[in-house]
Amino acid sequence: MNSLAPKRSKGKRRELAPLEPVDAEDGPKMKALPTDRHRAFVRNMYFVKPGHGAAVKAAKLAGFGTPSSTPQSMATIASRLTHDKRVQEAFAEQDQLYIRASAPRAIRALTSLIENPNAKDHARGIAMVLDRVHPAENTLTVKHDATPAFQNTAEVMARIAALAAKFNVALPAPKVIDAVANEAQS
Amino acid sequence: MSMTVEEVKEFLERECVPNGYKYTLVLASVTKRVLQTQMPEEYRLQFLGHLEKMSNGEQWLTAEMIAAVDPMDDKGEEIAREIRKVGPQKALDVYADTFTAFASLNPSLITALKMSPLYRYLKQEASEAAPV
Repeated sequence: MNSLAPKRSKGKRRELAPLEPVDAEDGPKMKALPTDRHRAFVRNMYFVKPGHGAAVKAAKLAGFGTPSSTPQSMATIASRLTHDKRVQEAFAEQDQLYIRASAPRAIRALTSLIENPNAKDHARGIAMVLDRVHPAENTLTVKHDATPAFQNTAEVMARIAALAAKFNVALPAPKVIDAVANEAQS
Repeated sequence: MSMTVEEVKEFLERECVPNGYKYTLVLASVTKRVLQTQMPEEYRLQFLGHLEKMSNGEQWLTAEMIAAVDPMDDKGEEIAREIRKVGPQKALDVYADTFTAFASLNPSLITALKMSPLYRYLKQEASEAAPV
C-alpha cells in the first residue's frame, strides 16, 4: 500500500529569494509635501471608497486628528487638506501616475474587446485601434513663393505710369516713410 | 470754360448725343476721381484698365477724349453717389439722364464730346456745306 511507503524527506526548505528592490520614488510634488501624513493622505484618497466622507476617512487613515476629534473637526481637517495647494498639486501628479499605470490594463481590455466579435462595442474598438494605427490623413499642399517679384512690380508700376500719362490721370503722391538716407560707402 | 445748364442742354439736343456717350464720360470722370485716392497699386491698375477698355480706337471715344475729362468734383461725386443707390443697371441710365448736371459742374465732359471724331466730322461737313 502506498500508505506504508516511507515518507520522503522534504529536506531543508528552500529560502525565499529576496525580492528585487523596488525603486519607486515619489514625484517632486509628493516630496514637496510637508509631512509623511500628508503623503499618506494623498495616497489614501485613491484607495478609500469614493463618496461622501471619503476625504475624512483618508485623513483618519493618514493619522490626522485624535481619537477624541469630533466628526466636525475631522471634516474641517479633511477640507483643509483637500484644498491645500500643495496637496492638490500632489493629486495632479498622482493622477498622471495612476492613469499611466492603467494604460496596460486598458490596452489589454481593448485587445479583448476587438477579439470578441459578439461584444457590444466590438466595431467601436476596432475603429479606435485603426484610428490610432492608420489615422485619416488630409494632404494640403501650400505653395508659398517668398521670392520678391521685383521685376513684376516694376512692370506694374511702369504700366500704371504709362496708362496714367495716356489718360491724363493725376496720381496721388506715393507714401514715403520719413527717413534719412545715408549714402553707402563703396 | 464753364457752361450754363441751358447751354449744355442746347448742345446735347443739337448734337443728338446718345445716352451711352453720356454715361461713359461720366464713368470716366468718376473713375479719374477714384484714381486720385490712395489705393493698392493692383486696384489702381484695374481702374486704369477700365479706362483703357472705354477708349475704342477712333470710333467715338478716343484716349485723347478720356484724357480731356477732368475728375469729378465733390458736388458731382455726391450726385453720383446718390445715383449709385438705384443699382448698377439703372445707374447708367440715370447718369445719362442727369448728364446736364454733371456737365454744368464739369465742363470738360462737353469738351471731350467736342473732341469726338464723329463730332469733328459733322462739324467739318457742316462748315464745307455752308455758303461762303
